[in-house]
Amino acid sequence: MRSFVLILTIGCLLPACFFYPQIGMLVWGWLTLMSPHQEVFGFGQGLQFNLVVAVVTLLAWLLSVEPKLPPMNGLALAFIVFLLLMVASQLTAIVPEYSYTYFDRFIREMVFIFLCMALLNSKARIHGMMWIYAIALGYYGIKGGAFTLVTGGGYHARGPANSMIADNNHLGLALVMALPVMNYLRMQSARRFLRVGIVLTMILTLACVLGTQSRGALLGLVAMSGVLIWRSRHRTLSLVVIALLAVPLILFMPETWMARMETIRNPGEDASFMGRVQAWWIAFYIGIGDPLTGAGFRAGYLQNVADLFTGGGYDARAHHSIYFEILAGMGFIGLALYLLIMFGTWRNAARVRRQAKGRAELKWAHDLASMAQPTLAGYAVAGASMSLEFWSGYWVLVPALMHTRRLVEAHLGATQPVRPGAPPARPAAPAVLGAGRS
Amino acid sequence: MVTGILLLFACVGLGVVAFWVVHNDRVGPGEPTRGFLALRDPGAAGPADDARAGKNGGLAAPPRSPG
Repeated sequence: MRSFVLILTIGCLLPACFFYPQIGMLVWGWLTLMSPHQEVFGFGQGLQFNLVVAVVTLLAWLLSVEPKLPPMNGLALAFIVFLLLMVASQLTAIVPEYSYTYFDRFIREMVFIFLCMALLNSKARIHGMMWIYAIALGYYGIKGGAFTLVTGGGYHARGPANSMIADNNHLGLALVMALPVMNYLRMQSARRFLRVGIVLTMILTLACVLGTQSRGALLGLVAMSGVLIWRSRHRTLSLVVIALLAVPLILFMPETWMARMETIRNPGEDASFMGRVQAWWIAFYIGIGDPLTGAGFRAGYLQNVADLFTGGGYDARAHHSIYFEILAGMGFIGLALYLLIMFGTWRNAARVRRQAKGRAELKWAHDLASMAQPTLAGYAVAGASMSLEFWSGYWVLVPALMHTRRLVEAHLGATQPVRPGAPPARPAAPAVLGAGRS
Repeated sequence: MVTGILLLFACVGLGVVAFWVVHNDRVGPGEPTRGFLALRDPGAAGPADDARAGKNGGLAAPPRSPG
């Protein structure tokens, strides 16, 4: 039955994807973030929904009047250089046949993000993508949150199998990032029952974050909450609300959960953490040894590659860090570009907050930017201990905030009053940049 | 069964979002949106609460006339 529902949904939307590439972008995003084919049984599980939707969407995009390139600003250029460096890293990989499995997976994610860079250029598309984000991750938040509450928090909540967020830690990070996005939708939805539904989803999602038993996600949650409160207009109220939600849930969790989270205080005594430190040293030595393009994606997981760069004495394993994965896989240049893009996205959010402040018609942009920063903070902190450097849930925020800033600046430029005696203004930029076909 | 119901909601939600985006694609950054997923924009067609949505239809409620 579930297979039938999924096939029917994709089947009905596929023609729409062909005539409206922006719908294809949203469906592709939904499939990428949610992996719904992992939630069905039988024939539906083996079907290549993502590939079909991607091909149709890309074809529709090329045949349409939609922009084929992102707007050429610094952030977009940095992204394109980053993509080229990904290819270079694979071409110069130490063990190319091993790294190719990961390159293939990652480059598909980045093609989707490149599409977003070109197409996520209207208020409705950005808002729609945030809904897709919330629906895709809210699904696991509701499921995992209910599971956590019913089982008393004694088990690990996990994500969809064979996906980037299958691991409990990765699911925890994904849900920490989803919470501020859901809050943005709550702040902006005109319909009360949607707002109520979003609040209930957020509570269950918070329960699920705790239910993943992930220490990294808990740290990300703390960082995200801190920035959320800092960016809030009513800081005391926000602090009280978060405390009223979080404290009962934490008290609900079992002793085993408390004991596990207590180990954060003494990382030097935790074998898991010390193993990660060793993996980080391997990544560092790889970065030093091959600073321009790195050793190739996940090459540092192989013992012979680790020995090649360290001289032996280190146990090869996953690097468990978005920063060290990029360093080992793509070198220092790749890491510099990665950090530049992250910083640029944060800066876009800051700029949007500043420019949209006090303007009622741009409150949506101000709220989006205000919620994007806690999302980025959660990713930057929790991602330091997880291998989610190419997860779409982070990368989709890059074009979303880039275009939000462009839309805000275009609107402000178009509505700027003309002073008497001032020279004639340049023609105002169109309110909707690169709108779709008529 | 719970998973199936959630999956159904997710699929319906995807369709709703897709329709809404196409319907509001030409709305400018400072203009009000309409329909089921309308934002709380100033100058929008009034609070899109349940009663009004029920009278005007779900996904594309028309704006109220001024005055």
